[in-house]
Amino acid sequence: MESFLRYMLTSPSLTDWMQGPAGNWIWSLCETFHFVGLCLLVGIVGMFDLRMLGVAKGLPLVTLKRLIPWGVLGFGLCLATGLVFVEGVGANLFGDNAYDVIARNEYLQLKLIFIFLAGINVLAYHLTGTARAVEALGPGDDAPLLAKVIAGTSLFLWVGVVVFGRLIPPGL
Amino acid sequence: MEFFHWLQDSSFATWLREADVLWAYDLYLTSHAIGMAAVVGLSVAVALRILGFAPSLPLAPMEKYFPFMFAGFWLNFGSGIVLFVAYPVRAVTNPGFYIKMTGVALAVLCIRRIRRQVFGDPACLGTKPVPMNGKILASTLLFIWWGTILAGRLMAYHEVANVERATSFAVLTATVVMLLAGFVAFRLWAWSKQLRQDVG
Repeated sequence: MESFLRYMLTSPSLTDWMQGPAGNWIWSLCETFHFVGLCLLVGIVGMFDLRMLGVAKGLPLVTLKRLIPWGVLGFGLCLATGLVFVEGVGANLFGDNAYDVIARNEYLQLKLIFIFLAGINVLAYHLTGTARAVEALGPGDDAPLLAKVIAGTSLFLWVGVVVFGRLIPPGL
Repeated sequence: MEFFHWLQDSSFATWLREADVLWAYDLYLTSHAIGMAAVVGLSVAVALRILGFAPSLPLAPMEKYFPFMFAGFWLNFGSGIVLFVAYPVRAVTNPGFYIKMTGVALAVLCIRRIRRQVFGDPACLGTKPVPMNGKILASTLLFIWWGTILAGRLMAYHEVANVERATSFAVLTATVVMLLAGFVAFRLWAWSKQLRQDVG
């Protein structure tokens, strides 16, 4: 299992490219788009969560939902740049393997766990019928308790992801 | 400059840099990231609505998010001062710092102008499209945040040869490519929607 993960978590061709022709710009470009992505993700998902918690009650959630794809775009940017960080960490930390980096960096572990839990939270939102109940709310309506719990958990988890993410670099 | 050296050598600044506890430098770094997500994220969401995405969303209630944006701004103002105090000499000798501060100031002015001009215009408050002036403000805000985030990130690379210029060019190229791809995707989607309506 360990050797499988070690194999999957490196990409020698990517690392070579990142140390060679792309060396001057690839890591910082990925960091920049990681920040852009996180602002989109936390901003839009946060806006939706805050509405469920009672802010800006004049907004009908079935229409606020239309901004969510931008949040998904943000997540996609973070995922893509995050994969470059993981697969290409050897380019920055000269020969280090993402398996070892994850094994010794608690903040990276916590960040990955929180992202996973946020995914579970989204599943719960859809599979428990909360999504349907919430989208039936009109302007001025209060969201059901389970929706508020899911919204609060979402905010907590994504803010946690940002916090842990920011604490990764000093520990590398 | 002597002042900044004095500040850097002060016991508070030294403690910030050297104490191995989460509530030293790390606390202010993480607060700064949270504040950024709040102010940039929420203002970008409002800007997207002004530009015409999710057009059936009534604009007026979105004004309730402005206090959260400004909470993020003030969190960053405070944490930013502390982050500056920890490494003042590095900050004032870095061009990226001045670009970023200018960007933040412009963005805040832009957000306030949007609040006055767009949210203050009764014609915009429902679901009617926002006039071109408002859309120009919203686009400007997106551009300012994009540049500010880039400048802020590049501050960390001031000492490394070539990275600032290469990265700026690469980020600009990648952004243009993504915008073009998004535009093409949107046209394809609109075209397929029209086709489905015609066949419908």
